Amino acid sequence: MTNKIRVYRSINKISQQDLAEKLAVSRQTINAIENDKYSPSLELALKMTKLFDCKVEDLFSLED
Amino acid sequence: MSLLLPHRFKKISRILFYLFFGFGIYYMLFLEGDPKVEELFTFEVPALINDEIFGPAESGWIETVYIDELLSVFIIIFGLLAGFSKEKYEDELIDKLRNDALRISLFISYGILLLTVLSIFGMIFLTFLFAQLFLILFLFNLIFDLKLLKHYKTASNDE
Repeated sequence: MTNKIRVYRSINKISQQDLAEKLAVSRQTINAIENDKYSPSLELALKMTKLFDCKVEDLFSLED
Repeated sequence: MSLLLPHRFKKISRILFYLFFGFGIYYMLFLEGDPKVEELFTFEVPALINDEIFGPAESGWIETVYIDELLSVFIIIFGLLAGFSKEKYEDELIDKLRNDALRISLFISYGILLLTVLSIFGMIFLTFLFAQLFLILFLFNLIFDLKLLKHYKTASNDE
């Protein structure tokens, strides 16, 4: 699974640390998700889409 | 995540776990049977069941070298506290690392147990069996700590 969290973070001018604090996870977790080392839970994914005001499929997509 | 203990237990229990585990190995290899150590740790303790060789099983007070029991209790308590205390920033990725470490340690531990059952015979088999009671806890803590170290290290400067 790939994601565009880094892009949305950049658009919204939010650092990894700020995003981590808003989502109540560690910055390392945000970093692992951005680098496709970890797929977040549905709950965390939905929290992210709510924060960035986008759809799940805008933020996450399955690799071909 | 709800079954985890507070973070304040983590650091001290991790140190004490590795300390007692290390001492346990040292005791098994070099100190077991040492009369001075045995005398120091011989107590009269209550026994629910005391099964003497060629004798009937009884309950009551017995005099025994209690160092094995003390070490076992400390290793189990501090091992569980170290492995199942929250990290400073406990989240779902940390929980995944903990679960992965537990799964890997279970496989390795039972793999070693299989090898022990198939290749170790005689009285030393019991020593191996006793040591393996703590192997899964040791491997779990070691693998989890290594995973945490890697996790904190690799994500240190990426913004």
